[in-house]
Amino acid sequence: MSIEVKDLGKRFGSVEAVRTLSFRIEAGEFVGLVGPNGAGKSTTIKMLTGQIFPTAGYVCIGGVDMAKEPNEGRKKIGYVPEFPVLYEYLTAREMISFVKEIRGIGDVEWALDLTGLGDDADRLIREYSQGMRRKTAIACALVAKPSVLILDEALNGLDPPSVERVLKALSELQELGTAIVLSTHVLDTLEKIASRVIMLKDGVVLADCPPSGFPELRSLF
Amino acid sequence: MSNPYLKVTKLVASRKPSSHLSLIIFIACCLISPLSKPALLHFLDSVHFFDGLQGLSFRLGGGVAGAVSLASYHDIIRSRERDILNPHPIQPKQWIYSLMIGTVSRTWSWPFAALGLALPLLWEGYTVPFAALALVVWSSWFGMIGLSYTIHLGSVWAARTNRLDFVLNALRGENPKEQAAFIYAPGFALFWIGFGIMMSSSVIEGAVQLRPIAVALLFLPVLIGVIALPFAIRLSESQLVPASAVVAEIDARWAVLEKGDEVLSVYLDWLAGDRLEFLRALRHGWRALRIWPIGAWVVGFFAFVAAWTSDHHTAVVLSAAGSLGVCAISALFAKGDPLWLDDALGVRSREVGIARFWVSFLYAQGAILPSFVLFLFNDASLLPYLLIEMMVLFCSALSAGLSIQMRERGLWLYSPIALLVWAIIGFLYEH
Repeated sequence: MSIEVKDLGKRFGSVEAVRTLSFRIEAGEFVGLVGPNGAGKSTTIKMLTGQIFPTAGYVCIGGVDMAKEPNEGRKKIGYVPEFPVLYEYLTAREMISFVKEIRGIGDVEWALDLTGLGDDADRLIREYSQGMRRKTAIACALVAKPSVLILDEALNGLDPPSVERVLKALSELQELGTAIVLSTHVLDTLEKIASRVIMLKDGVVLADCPPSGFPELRSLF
Repeated sequence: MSNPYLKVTKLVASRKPSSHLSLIIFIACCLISPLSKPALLHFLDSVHFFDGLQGLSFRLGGGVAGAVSLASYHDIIRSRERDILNPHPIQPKQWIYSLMIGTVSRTWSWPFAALGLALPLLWEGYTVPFAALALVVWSSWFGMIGLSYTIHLGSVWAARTNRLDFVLNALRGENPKEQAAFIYAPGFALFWIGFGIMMSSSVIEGAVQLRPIAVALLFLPVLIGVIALPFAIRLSESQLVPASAVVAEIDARWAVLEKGDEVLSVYLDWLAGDRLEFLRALRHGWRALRIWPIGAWVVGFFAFVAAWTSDHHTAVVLSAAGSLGVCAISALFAKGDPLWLDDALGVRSREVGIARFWVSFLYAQGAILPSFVLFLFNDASLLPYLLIEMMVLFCSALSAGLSIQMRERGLWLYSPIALLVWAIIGFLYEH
């Protein structure tokens, strides 16, 4: 399933957060969305996932326009927001089971194993650290094995073994044909796994290149 | 098929420590009901009994319905659950049903609390009138649940469509257009259910006499709610998910506004014209001390409510106290401005003093105007308001003068003098 972004723009009053973005991400691609703070990454991610609507252009996920049919689009996407919010009085297992139920498909144990929540899965989320909350949010996004996975700074706050584990899981999903977008401002993470990097600055695409172009990208930061 | 949203809501509710807020509100209303007895009975005795009962049921029903409208706005549009569910697809019908159950469980005690305030009716032996009143209030509550869900979901459509731009742009003030659609929705819902409550209140005499049509009309708000409900369910399919994007849009627009430069336009600046010192004082007042003019309007609102329930004495006292309090603002304008700085900058004290006088006088009007307007329409005596305005004129001048002479320390002298003036005028009025 592909992600198609065409002439995408977003304006908040007088502030132009995203100017004109166009790119296409195919099934099985792992794309890193990078850029300094304020580059427009989060706004772009929110438009990709239908959390906000563009003021220009469009986003199509598997042929569904996210502004016109956001709920249909969400069915195709697994999304980890930058600041995930969860039911505090559920356990991780219950939270992930709930997501499985509303999506109508999924494997809770697989998602728990993948994120390494293990023994903590039956503790209330309100007792969790930030890292464990993030792992729960990632497990929620993965549980239904979606065709498109979008992660907004999702690896922040995770310890190195957890980052490794999540990246490995993402690799597996990529091999299964999932299109993955990971927004981050840490380029090193992407070097290991991304098949392509899109760099944003001031709301426009500054570079769109394969990993071989990373050294050049560093100089643009 | 079980409802996953409802299942989770129940699970969370069973684990979350309960505040028993609903019960506390109900008990509190019952406990303070002896205090409402004089006003209530005066209300019923002052006119034809059933006219009084009609007025009482309309006000209690309207009050409960208004509160429910705000609660359902929160549940549908601003619920924290939205942040949890936003990353996932939703099943609109099941979620709206779960939200509705949530609103019901949060507000079920409100009609009982309102009726708790009217308990003195029962003590005085008005059992059947109390039962009729209870039906109007309960029916208002129920009707508003159905209607407000429809209107709040409709407001999402209104926020997104271009067809209502001309209306929303006229109403929005400094709010984003989408926000205008949301903030007027509770009032819009209250307006429509208000017709139902008015009708059901107007037949309360017939209902007490057990006339079947009158008894049936007591349930008119319920009928409105029931008719509206299918529209809510239908709207939920198209508007429940986009509501998150609209809310995010509004929040982002406000964030941009707050990050940007100060907004040049401030409260009442249209009165300043080319008087620079006055404009400066208005900007200072709004940017640094806006809690004062806002507070004045809040007090004004309570005075309005008191006047609405014919408690004129409380309305006048609230307006007087609020306006005199706000007049003290001049002294706060001078806080942190040493005299030597004024000298160095060549500040003209007279102009500054006059500007502060006008600002405090105008800010004080927020506490006065709402109840004054009601007095005007009710043909009640306006003498108290004339006296309040005189007091405010004097106190604004006093406060402005003291702010020039004593800076913020002027507050210490202002407070006893203002209280003394209030006491003297109150004494003269009473005698």
